[in-house]
Amino acid sequence: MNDFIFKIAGEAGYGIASAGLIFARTAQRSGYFIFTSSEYPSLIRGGHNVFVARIAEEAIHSPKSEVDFLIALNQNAVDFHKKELSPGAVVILNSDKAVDSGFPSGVNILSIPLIKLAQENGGQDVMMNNVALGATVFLLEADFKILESAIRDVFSSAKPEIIDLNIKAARAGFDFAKHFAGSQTSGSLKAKKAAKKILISGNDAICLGAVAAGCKFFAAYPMTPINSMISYLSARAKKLGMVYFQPEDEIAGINSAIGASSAGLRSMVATSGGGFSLMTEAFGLAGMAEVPLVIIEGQRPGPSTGLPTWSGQGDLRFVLHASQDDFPRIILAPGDQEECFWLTIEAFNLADIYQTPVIILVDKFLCESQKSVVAFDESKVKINQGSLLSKEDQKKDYLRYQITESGISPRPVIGRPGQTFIFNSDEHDQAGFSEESSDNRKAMMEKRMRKLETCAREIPAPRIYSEKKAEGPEHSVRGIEISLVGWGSTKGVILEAQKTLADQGIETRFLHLNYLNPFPAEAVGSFLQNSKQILMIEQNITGQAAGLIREKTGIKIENLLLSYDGRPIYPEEIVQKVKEII
Amino acid sequence: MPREEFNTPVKITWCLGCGNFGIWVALKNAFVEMGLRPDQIFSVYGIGCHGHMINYLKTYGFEGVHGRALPLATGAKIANKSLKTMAIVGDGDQLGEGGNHLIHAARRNPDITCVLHNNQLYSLTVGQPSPTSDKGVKTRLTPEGVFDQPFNPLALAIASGASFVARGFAGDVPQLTKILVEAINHQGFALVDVLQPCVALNHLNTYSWFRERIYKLENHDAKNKVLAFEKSLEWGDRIPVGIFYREERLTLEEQLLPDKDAILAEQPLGLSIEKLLAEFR
Ligand SMILES: Cc1ncc(C[n+]2csc(CCOP(=O)(O)OP(=O)(O)O)c2C)c(N)n1
Ligand code: SF4
Repeated sequence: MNDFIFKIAGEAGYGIASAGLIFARTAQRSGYFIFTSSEYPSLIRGGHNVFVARIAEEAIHSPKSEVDFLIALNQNAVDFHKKELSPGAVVILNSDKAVDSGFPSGVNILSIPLIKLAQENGGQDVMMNNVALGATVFLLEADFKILESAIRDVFSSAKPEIIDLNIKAARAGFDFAKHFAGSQTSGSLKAKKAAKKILISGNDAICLGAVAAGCKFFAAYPMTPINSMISYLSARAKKLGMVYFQPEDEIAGINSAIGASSAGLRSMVATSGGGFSLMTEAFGLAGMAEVPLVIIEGQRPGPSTGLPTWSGQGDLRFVLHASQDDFPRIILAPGDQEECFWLTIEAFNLADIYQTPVIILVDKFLCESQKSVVAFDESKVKINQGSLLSKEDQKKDYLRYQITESGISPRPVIGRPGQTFIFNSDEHDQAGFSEESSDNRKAMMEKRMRKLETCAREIPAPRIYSEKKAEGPEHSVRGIEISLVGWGSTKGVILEAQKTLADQGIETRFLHLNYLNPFPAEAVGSFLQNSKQILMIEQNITGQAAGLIREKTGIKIENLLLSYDGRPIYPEEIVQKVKEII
Repeated sequence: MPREEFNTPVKITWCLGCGNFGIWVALKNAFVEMGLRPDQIFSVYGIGCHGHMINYLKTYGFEGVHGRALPLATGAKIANKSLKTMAIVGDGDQLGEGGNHLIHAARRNPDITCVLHNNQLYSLTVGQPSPTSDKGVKTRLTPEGVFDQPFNPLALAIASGASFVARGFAGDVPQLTKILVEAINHQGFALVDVLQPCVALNHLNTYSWFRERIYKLENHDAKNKVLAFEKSLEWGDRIPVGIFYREERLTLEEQLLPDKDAILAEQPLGLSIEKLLAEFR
């Protein structure tokens, strides 16, 4: 099956990301499914940048570790990545900057003077990327016109002359390959007919979800990995009828969003663990004052500044416990780009219904990886504002913090004509006035926490994914040797590992958690009880979700695959671990 | 509308004679004079004795966390630009914990009136020195006297770009009322520093201490920024009160809102993403 990995690597500042995007668009427009990810150090220039894309005929969910097609723009690219090449891989070697320092045998090398060709065609050195892409398109038998359209779109804000020069450079690469390349190839991008897809990152999917949900206020202080949310929404805010507010720090960010929400706007903040550390006090304020709020927490490895541009799942315990004392918090962890979209809409609904903060816990890998998905069907978007009072009802008497069975009180909005009310961070009575009596305190704590119980009854059970053996009779659940458990962004890799395992005759079940609080204890408990062996896969050093599962179900998962080096987990690692266990 | 319309049923627990009473009365006077109703006003409070006003002043209200009233008020003002938005803050609250927010609110110029209850102490936590405590003042914590230079909220606000900067005295309610009316009417960020005697804990900066020193700014050109800055530095034997500085400038909301004439919170939620999706093909 046509399923291969493309990698372009070189010095930071040389447009690796835009070259990657052009390639991915070309592949997608040729009818293929794409999954991309990027790696870069916390530097603007001089570091080593890598863009990886997996291309396949069928839907794919993660990268793979072996590289089948490499564009090496400099010597580091050769030296760092030659060991990753699959047998028969193709390498485009920039002979102006790198030499063959001993590729494994069987690798096909096409040396191209990328910089010289870019210069000869009137371009600058950076346009060497396009020379390489032109050659790539030839080698993969893609349609040059599709590459041209992708270049035009990605550089749409550049001057027409510059776009033309980029295309000319690509053409030079194409022609060079036509003259000098043999028939070696490691995959195909031959144009074919396919359903219309979009290539979208987790960040962009969250932004689209927010827009579809009617988010009107977005505050975010810059921080990897959520920066592309800021660029996406700030550039379009006025057109979308919303506001992007750049605060002086994350504290101002979350407090401004709480203010906007109190006056009736669906509001969102986005940050990473460090910024969320600054938000923790106001996170509790939203819980105490009962103000709806959506918080995007894009994890990256810590502690402290940690690995700023890498990925991990080390903040689960943090978001579960952040801020003093107990208050209802809802924590969602989307598994892929589609879930980023749908759970963002869900988060706005839950925030409104339960009048409390909702965290969407993602990570650098999911935020910045792009995946081909069928375009979201907006006719399925549902908006639910819970017990929001109408303008008319707010003119009548109501109690802001009315004690109810569900814990949910009617929600008025600051600023409407009618009865005024107050939000209070001090413990308060039903009207909102500060009140410290023991009876009131108990009633109010219980009322707030009851909202979480109500919510727990409403959330969907976690999904279980089964992958049957390639051949043979259907197995009952009991026949399955191993159950896999993961949460958030490891969903894709685990699904891929399941496929590989099935091909090798190992049938698995996989429980994916995307609601982490309230925790679906019953469903998880019965899944685990019906499992022979269990493998928990997560990206932190202590097995934070495994600990949570033990706390909520009493079941201790013995096999843990933990990774905390900041790098993505590959399906191959999971396959190997499973084989060790069974 | 009678002044009582702004009262709540809650019993007031400020110490008898506390400067917070004067500010509370002046605020109500200003609202009455301007013909405002409680539901047209949003008051955001800091944490401290001053913040207890949330229970005593009937308007839409929000007591947030210590030092963060200004960003909260800014978000609400963006959501509903028709709200008369007040930040009722303390000197410890706004100049210590929330100092950064004051600087940035001043530069951004949201149409918010910030009333700084300046009692030169952390009172609710029982009398520690605050950023505005006079140098050398002795508290239980500082037997040798405060070492640090006091924070000058007026000079800071002017330097940071506040478009309205004034000082009032809680012991002169009629003048404070006038200043508050001007401040609330001003389109943009207004800082009103209010000298607020804390009768329980501040035994230096008392009503009579202030009365001996205070004089009203007269024949002062409030459009002249350099002059305003110069006046703001005056402190000690003579303390000026009145309007130091004012300028006309576009507000944050006028520049940030997608439709500067519409209330954002009243716009419909649903929005098609069809066109946005097309960009990802
Ligand atoms: C984050 C945080 N730190 C500390 C406190 C404790 N605290 C409550 S009030 C206060 C000082 C208030 O001083 P000021 O703002 O001058 O108000 P005043 O009581 O003098 O009116 C402090 C430090 C708190 N509530 N929150
Ligand atoms: S302690 Fe001071 S500021 Fe607080 S209420 Fe008493 S007099 Fe007023």
